[in-house]
Amino acid sequence: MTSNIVKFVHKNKIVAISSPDPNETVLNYVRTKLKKTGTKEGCAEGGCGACTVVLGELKNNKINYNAINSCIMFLPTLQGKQLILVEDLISKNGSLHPVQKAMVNYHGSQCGFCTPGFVMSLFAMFKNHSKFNDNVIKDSIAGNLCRCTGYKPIFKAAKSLNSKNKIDYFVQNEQNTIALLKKIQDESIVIYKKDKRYFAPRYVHELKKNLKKNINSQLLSGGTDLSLVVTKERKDINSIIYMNSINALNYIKNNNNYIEVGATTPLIEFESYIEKYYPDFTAILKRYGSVQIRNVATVAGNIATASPIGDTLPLLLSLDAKVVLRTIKKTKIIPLNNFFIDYRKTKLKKGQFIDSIRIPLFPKNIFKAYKISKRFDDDISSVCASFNLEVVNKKIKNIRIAYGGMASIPRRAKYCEKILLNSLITEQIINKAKEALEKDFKPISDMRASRKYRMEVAKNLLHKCFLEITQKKLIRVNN
Amino acid sequence: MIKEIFIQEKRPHESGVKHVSGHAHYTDDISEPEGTLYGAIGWAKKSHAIIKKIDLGKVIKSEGVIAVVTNKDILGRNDVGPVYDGDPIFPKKKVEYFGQPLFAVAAKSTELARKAALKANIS
Repeated sequence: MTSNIVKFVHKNKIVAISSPDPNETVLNYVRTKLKKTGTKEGCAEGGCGACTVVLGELKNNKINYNAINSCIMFLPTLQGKQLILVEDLISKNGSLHPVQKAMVNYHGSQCGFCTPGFVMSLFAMFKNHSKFNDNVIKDSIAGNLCRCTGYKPIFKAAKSLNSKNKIDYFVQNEQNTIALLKKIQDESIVIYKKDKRYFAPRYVHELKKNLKKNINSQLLSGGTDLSLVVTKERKDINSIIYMNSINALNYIKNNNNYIEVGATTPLIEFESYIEKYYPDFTAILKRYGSVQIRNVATVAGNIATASPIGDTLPLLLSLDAKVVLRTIKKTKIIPLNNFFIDYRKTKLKKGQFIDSIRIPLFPKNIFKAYKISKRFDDDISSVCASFNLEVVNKKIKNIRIAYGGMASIPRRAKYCEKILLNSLITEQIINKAKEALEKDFKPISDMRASRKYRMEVAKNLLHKCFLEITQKKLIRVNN
Repeated sequence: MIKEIFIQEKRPHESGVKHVSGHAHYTDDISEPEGTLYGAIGWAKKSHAIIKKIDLGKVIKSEGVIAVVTNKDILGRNDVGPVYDGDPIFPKKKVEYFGQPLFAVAAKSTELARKAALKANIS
């Protein structure tokens, strides 16, 4: 079924909005139309978490509770989901949710502006985890900034939830909510609003049809990058095709040669799957934006955005990943290594979309990835490096090295690889390989790092990789 | 009897319950009277610079804009330093930090005001 009416569940009811403005953010809608002002606008770019709301999403007959940044989410993408705001956590008789009580009891608020966002991130944690250890808590609130209370009381409030009964109002009401959500699952959305168009196909064949008729559309996935065109540059995106309603592209498969990740699979699912094969990949993903970002962002989106500092990209390059591109009629598989052309320019043509990403498995190889940023969590890379190699009889084989933040695109370090391939691991060779990086890259100076620093740190990360290999231990700041 | 001494006693924040439930009202949360205009600030895009010219032609012409305010509209003292001087409302000649306010726009909606503020031509 196709409809121009966006439907979602809010407070036990189905809310229907006829042809909403496809560029309106959920935050704007909540604050100005629903007149619920508990959700705040801070940075308007998905960095501070003041706008955090939770979306209930139906999966395998259960509800997943995902914290997201409402300031960078477009209203029509609420279709088929349950919207939960900070005001909605209070029960009918006026009593606070355990998460809210804990925040009061442990003095988790001071000026109170960031508090609703923290409450919602902690609420999502409360719903999605059975135990709240230090790592779970830190990961859950890494996407929320507080500038006055300090994080310690908030952390303590989160910790205290371990002893609380998990049966809250949302558990008691879950069957009811599931029934409502089921009623609104199967609709594809098509909106024509003045000069703006929005399509949210549910199936690949619908996507192809939408693409054919609207060849100039912007493909929207998690929107954590694209939406800033609206919220920061204050421009309109006239035609949008939203990918993430297509369930058939939300999967992770493994045939023992490679892992295939569907284009609409959120990073949060990918990060737990990939850990078994490439633990460093997961470690980097944990620092990729925040939970709110990773709940919606996708690997395909990161690839299509083609930022020189996209954090999955050097990792995927060193793993020799392939991109499966589809048009209306054809499927084409190209190495990621050939996909990036120039700064934010790729081989993705109009009418084409990313279907999936194939990540080869190298059971004999060593895989390492490092990210250097000014702040540990939720920050943009100055330099990101990734190494994938095999060591046979102390000789380096099958090596791929890739860097982000060192050129206008994320790129392999070919000269460096050449020096190392088939060489013994010696200090002399490592030094030669470090020098070769100067042939590979001419980094720029910007607000994140100077040219000199980038080159120095790129060399040192290579050095660190081989120190970790020869000393057979991890040298990490947070271990 | 009313208790009067709270020393060495943990007491919850007096607005704590409001904070955690989203019911604490900040300026932007108060419902506005009919006809309210919405403001946006034009920010400096340099961290240290001499202001030669601020051309607000396009800002004034932008959709929904009712008024703009610059340092010329400040009739009194253009300084709000609470203890020492050095904190101009809108600087006249020198930008001293990235994001320093240079002018303000009033428009019919927040969106329109923010859109307009980006259209300034500053050299």
